[in-house]
Amino acid sequence: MIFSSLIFVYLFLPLCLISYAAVKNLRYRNLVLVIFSLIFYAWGEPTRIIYLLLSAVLNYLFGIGVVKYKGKASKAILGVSLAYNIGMIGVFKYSGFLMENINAIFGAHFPVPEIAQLVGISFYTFQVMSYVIDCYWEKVEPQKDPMKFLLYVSLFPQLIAGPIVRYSTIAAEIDNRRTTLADLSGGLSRFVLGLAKKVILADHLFRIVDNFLGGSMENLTIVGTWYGVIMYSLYIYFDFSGYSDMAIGLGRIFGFHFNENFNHPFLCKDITEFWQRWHISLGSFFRDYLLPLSFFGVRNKYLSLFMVWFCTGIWHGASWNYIIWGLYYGMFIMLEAKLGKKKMRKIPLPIRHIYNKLVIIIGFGIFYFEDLDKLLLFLKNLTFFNSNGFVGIAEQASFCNNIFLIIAAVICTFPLLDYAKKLSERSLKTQAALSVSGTVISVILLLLSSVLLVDATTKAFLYYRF
Amino acid sequence: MEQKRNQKKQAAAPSRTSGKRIVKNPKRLLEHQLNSLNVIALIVCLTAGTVFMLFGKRPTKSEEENRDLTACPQFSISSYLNGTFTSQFSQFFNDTVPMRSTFKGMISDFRGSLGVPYDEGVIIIGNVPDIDNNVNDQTEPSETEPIETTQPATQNATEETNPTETTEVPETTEATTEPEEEEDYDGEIANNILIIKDRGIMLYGGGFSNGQKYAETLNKYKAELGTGVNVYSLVAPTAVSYYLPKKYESYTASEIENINHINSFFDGVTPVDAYSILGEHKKEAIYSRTDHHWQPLGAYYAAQAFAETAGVPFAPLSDYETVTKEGYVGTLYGYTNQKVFKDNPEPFVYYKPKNQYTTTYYNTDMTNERQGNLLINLDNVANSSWYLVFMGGDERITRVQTDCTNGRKLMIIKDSYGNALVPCLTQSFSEIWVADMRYFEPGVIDFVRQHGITDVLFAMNTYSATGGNSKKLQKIMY
Repeated sequence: MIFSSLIFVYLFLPLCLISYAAVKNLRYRNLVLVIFSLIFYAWGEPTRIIYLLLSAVLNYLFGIGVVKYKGKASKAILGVSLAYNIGMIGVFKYSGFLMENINAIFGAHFPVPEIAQLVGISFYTFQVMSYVIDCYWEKVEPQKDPMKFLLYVSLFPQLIAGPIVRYSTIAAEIDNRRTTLADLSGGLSRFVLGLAKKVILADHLFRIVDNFLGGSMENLTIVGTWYGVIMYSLYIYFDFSGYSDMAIGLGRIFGFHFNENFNHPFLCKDITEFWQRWHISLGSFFRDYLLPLSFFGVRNKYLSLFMVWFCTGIWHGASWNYIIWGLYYGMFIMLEAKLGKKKMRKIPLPIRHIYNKLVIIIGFGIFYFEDLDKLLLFLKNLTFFNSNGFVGIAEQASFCNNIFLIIAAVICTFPLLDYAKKLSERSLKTQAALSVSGTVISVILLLLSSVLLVDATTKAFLYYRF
Repeated sequence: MEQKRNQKKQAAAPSRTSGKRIVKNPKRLLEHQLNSLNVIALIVCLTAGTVFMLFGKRPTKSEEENRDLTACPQFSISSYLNGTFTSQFSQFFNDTVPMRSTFKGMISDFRGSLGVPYDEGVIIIGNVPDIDNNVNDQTEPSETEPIETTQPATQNATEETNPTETTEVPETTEATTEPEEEEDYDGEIANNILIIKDRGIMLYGGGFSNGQKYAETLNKYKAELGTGVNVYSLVAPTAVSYYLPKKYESYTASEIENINHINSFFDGVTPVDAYSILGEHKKEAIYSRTDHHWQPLGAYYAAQAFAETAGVPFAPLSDYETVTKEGYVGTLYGYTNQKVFKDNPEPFVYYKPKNQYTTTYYNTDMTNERQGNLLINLDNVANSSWYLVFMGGDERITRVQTDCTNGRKLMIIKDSYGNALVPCLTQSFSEIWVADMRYFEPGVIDFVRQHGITDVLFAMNTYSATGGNSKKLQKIMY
């Protein structure tokens, strides 16, 4: 089930809220959340729940095991848990890709396994991995209560498309939490905001993207190609950050406080900063768990960086373009590190902005095209290496037809809520006026999004498949 | 409501515990009130929406899209376990929202307000067309071949190897695409539609190698049927040939080039030139603005070209009763959801032959013979589907026996464009059989022999002749 669907907003969520509010005891509330989370995950393909439960049971045991046993035994359990978790992702996500490449490189003819990817496996497996490692590092106490652990693994707000919530973030809230009025209010508004980002902005931006990049692109002009990929960059931001908003909002409604996953990434001044603002929970996962590792007994800064960006790339999908995309970012981050912060700061800000936007936008082009031939055509079309002309009627028409959407999208990449918050600190009157306006806007956004959902396909969030 | 109460209770909980402090602190009191207001407003909306979704009357049919909406699935353990129940239930819940068509209208209004009109109101639906008139085949390059952006024309289209099928199945960015809809249009609507003012024009991708295959298939028919049976090909151009402003020409392939290309391969098959006669009449309403079909008048002129080619009599329009139905908003509205179509309906004008004839319908396997009207009653037909007036659609076999005494027996093998030709030929042939190439089950060759058919007309639009539909002709041959 996806958040941006009528069945979620007007059937699943109300039933879940009623059931949750109907019981007062936290143990039962946790049970309600677990049951609804399992229904949520099983929707559309009930058998996949087996893998989720298996992962929960095994990692529950691993967590207890790495703490109970010391020394080598503990290390061995950690090793087994990592092998199991990475193995699961490997089988469900990369086995086909791996086999195809082995066949291509060695000219072999091994059958390519066709395993349907498990929705959300990249997210929940990373969560449980972080949990077992944290237990091993004694950063957290292992959860003894299987029900509570299952709640951590399956909690539907963050189950299928993140953010990747660390156990330490919500450990205390699993045991003891309360939804304050501010939580409920903030959570509901945040959910609506995310829904609107997805349904009003992202879905309509994607229609443009598909018109320009979704076809064969044989006749796309230079401007048309840039237009398409800029719209894609906006789309992917609103799609994914909208999902995170909904996840964080839903979490708050139930008394959980997840960390932010996006921090207005397009405002970054360099690429290093972009990754501190984009999909923060993934970046911090690799920073905390992969960067400190030594490979084959060697700790090398560059090797670690390569691994982090290789993994960041391939985490997004079993296709070469994602790997290229990851390493492409790694390259710029390395260059920025080489140059040093001081020298970076000396570069005039407008130039830095042009530089990082170009890198980001072309990067999302690489991200978009799984078909490498098309990627090549795209890169040709971006430049003067094609003969399709500079600008055509199609992009002019599309730009005019969507001008308000595009302006709204660009404005919404700025931290409007932070501005409002600052403004509201001036006086109680301003605060009241802004808050009431916020409520009115939330209601309008909810109604508008709901109407638009009537026309929604089963087209899921982009990050749903990772 | 219960939900609302519960939420209220929940919301009220913290205020009870910290009520005194709140009263003392005006900022906190204000925040408390503002949060309460926000929670109440949003919960009221959610509750109202839920009640509306659960208890509102759910429609079962969409007239704009001319299809039955998804039905509520029956629950069974097996359907739950294999996931079909849940996915169908989601589809049902979304597809049959109470007041669906009102909301669809609102969505179309909203989308119309996302920007300003360009030029003369040009909107391009679908992918930016990848058309180059110099390229001999508009098919997608296969994965193993390097992509060439603009190849100069190769002289011989037959050199193309392993062309991928061009498919006209609407593979759309429209959020509404569902399998049912695709089937309804059955491969007749193009991916790309250009709307200019209030007219929708499907942009034509072309397909030379498919066209050649089409011609070769017809040659095979002719060879099998022998000299005793005349075989004709009428490839109908669409609105793009006549109504696309010159400056957008680079966005479409040329229909006439494709038609000529097909004709150049014929061996024994007689081509019918509908293109020229339609061009002569392009100032008249020969194509619908809001529908992907031609208007019956366009079909009339095409039928005239056929009658002249076949050497049969042809009745002037004065021999028909003209029926005008106002308020036609055709398939392009359902497909594109563009407000401009809904706001600018057009008349649908068709012609009833005045001579004597009887119409017999059969199922597509020639069972279930029954009498009927060649032109069905449109009183209860949605204004998007008035093109159904001809025989009520495609999924049947039709036999028309007329008072024409020339003894010529015609079989029309067609897509939906061919439907509109039938009433124009009741005064030209003694008997007409109509078979849709997508649904016809008996083998055509035997069928022609059995029924003493003298003339076979393949009548379809360029999309069918050069697209995926053409391969169906091979399937129905025997």
